[in-house]
Amino acid sequence: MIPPRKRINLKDPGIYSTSCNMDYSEAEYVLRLIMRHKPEAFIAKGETEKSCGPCQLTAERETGKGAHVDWWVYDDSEPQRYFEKEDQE
Amino acid sequence: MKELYFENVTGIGNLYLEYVFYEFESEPILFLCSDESRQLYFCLCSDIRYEQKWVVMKTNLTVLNALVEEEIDIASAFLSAPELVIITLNLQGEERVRVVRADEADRLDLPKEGTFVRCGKEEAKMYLWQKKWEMVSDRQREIVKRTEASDEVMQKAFFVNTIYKGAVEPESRLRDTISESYEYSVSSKEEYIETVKISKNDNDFVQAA
Repeated sequence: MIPPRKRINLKDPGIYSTSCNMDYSEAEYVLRLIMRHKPEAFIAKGETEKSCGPCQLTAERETGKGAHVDWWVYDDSEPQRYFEKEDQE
Repeated sequence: MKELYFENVTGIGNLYLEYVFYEFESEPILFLCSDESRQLYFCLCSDIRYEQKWVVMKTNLTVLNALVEEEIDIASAFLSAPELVIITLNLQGEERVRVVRADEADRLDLPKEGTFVRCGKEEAKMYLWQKKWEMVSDRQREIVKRTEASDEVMQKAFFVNTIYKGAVEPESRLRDTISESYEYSVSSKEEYIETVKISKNDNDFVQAA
């Protein structure tokens, strides 16, 4: 039923990143829209730490990407130390 | 050419990508598809973390306008459909499709209440307006086709009527009509000529008198 999609562009750096967003409402929208099954998803708020890896506003590379941020997290880093779980309504 | 998005879905067939309202991680999340007969389907990619899951429902422009205008939330739109098609693709690449009644669907497959379609409103409205125009044009073309076919028959009937001064009849009886009219015309013509000749003779008598 699902035909082969367009081949993934392996040269696109975005496919290797962890997605973040500067717009809290955008993250909340995604949570309400498609992350309702277990394991429970939640929003963590914080700041990207450069020692954990480089990051970039996606709009600097691609148009129409709003507040999306790519964060290329190093394998041996601990980015969770710089974020806190947000209480959801 | 529209992209084939779902192939050979049970009870539907092929679905082609029409419009993406919202995408996440470059994956269409809220989007529109159409089948071979141009019936529209509103689709939600309801899970992308482990297995991928899509919820698909047949829809129309009225529902789509209400969604874009945020008159109804996404869950309500899906729950108002008579049935939903659930397509899943697990991590092993195995595909599965189920058709369920909307009231039997897993509510966690649908967004929370009060979650509306987030999209570029002007672009979405423009797309829906164009879609409506396409449908109206298609209907008009159908009407014109039917009108042209009936016109062709009427033109043939009028042609016969003009030449032979007969009544309009179905094409299957045209030959009979022509032969009858031909015979009638010939005999009438001959009678007319005779009548004229007689009149001339009368004038000669008058002049003679």
